[in-house]
Amino acid sequence: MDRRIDIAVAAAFALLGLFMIWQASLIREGMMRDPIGPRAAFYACGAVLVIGGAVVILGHLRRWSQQAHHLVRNEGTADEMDFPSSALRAWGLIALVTIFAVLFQPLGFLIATPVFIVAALAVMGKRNWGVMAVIAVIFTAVTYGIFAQILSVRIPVGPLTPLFRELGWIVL
Amino acid sequence: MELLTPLLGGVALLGDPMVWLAVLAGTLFGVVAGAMPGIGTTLAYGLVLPFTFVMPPIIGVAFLLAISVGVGYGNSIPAILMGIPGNPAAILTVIDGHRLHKEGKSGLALGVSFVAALGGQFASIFLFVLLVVPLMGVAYHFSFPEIFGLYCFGFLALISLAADNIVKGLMSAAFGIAIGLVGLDPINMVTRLDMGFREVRSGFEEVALVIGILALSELFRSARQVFQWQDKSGEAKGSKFPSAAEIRPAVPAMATGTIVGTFVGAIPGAGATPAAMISYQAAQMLSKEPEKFGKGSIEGIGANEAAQNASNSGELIPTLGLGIPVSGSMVLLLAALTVQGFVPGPLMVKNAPDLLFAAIAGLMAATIFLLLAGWWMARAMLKAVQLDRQVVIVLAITMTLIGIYAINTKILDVLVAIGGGAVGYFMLRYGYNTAAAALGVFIGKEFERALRIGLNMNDNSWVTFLSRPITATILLIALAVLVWGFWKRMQMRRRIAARTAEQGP
Repeated sequence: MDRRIDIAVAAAFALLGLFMIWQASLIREGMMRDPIGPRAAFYACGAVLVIGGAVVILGHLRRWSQQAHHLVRNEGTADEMDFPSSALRAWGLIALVTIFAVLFQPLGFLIATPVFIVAALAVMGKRNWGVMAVIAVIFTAVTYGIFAQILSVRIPVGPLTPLFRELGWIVL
Repeated sequence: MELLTPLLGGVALLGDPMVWLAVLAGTLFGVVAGAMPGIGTTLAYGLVLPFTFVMPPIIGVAFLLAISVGVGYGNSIPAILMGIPGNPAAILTVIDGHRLHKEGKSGLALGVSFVAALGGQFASIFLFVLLVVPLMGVAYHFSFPEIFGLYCFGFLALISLAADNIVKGLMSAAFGIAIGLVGLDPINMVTRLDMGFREVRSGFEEVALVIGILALSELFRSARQVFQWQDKSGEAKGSKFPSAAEIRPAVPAMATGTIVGTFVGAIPGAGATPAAMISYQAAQMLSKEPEKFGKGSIEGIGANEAAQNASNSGELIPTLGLGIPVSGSMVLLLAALTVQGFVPGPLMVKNAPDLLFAAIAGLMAATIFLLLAGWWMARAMLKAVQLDRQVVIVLAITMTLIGIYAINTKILDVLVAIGGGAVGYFMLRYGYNTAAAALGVFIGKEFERALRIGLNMNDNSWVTFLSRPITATILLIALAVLVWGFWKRMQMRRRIAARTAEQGP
């Protein structure tokens, strides 16, 4: 793993810890008093994040000059050997998933989902647009059938709502 | 509760056709998921969890445990025929199983794996009952201080046994607990860290966060690489089931694997991988032909496979006996039960023994189903590996997101899960413990509540709180486990440093 990113992740957790401690100090004590209080758990968790983050960062800095390159012993889940990996692809997918979630209600499940699936497959390197579209449409139809019709989950259908109401497929 | 009661209750549930239907679906899904490299029990649970919310709790528990059994068996198939471990626990199956496959003995390797997985699973059910019933009896002596001690033990054992870096493990747990505590204070009902957002006043949806941290993170991590699993289904053709005489030498190793697997599986943070490793070593020590281990030993396969499956039963001991989930998949199992209205804790199964019966029925029925169809499925499931890996990842993400939305039909839950998945991605990549974080999210509130109410009960005195005999014993054990974990890590680092120094720059 790259020690620079490991340091950045540890720093992010440490900053989160500091933020947590600051926010905890703003919590009202409330009427019922107990020796722990509503703030202590956040102080403790924040402190663990700050101290832990500092330990990880200092550990790297202490050994910094001993190694010429930035790759150190992997502590996390390693990628499959023999295949190239791309953090950009993973982040592209996370960004796409976030956009999908944001557009889920305004566009509705039946429009947002197939568009998301095709876009996600494109991010994953697929270029066979016809097959991708078929997979997206079939998957969307089947999952809509399962969740909306069998499990009775209220799935938003966006601009199709008036049509579905007219057809009697959704009641409210 | 009598020792035989859970077994009889489990057998009685097998009369319900719905249980069989759920087990059939669960086992099939589990074997397919297990046969796909990279999909373990936790991810498989994450994908189907929302479906369990609409099932009666008994059916849901049986369904989820059938998946565990299916995954345990399914992951040996690519390990033997492709040399790819479905999950880390199957690494040792690769060493011996794939070697036998290369020697043209695929049938022997698959047959031993089949018998070991099912034998280990079935025998471990009885061990599970033998251990969980006395544990449930102890549960009545547990009040808030003892529950706090148990949660401390669960966290510290999970961190010190499972994490590569204990500091990062502690940070993961702290992160999870803090996120889990956002919302209403359990004692005086003031809101905490809601940042003024009305939607977060009662906290984040725990199940969504847990699925994000455990399942979405793994899917995001998998998306880093684009490749296809190789189709080796043709190589399994003509594999014949080995004779009893061929399997017999591996039976003692299977028995060792079953016992070790059940006990090690019950230790928080241990799970299938250490269970498989320890039982492999134990079987090698007890073997008449230890030199064969690593070179195509059927005893090695037997010990490893039996231990992996037996650890399914082992993990249930603290999960159902004390309400402490010891692995990511067990956190999800309890999360499913929480949605159904159950309160995790030592008295959960005491108050609802049907859950225990359902667990036994699920494990038993899945084993019986695999006994009848597993050998045929071994070859058929290789076809699952032919599925396009990229399509599987994208559809799995979509299914997970829709499932999360279905919990409360709130888009905020989906965004929370995505956030959890993104943080979990970094945690997985850089050695933070996602299971500890998920456990923190899930039991953080109860953890704090047990401490505060416990202190209140003991006149707000730390001395009285900590000197209760059971609490003190559990906390001392927890501390010992943490110190032991630190010591083991330091030893390992010294060994690595010495080896690096020997090899030179």
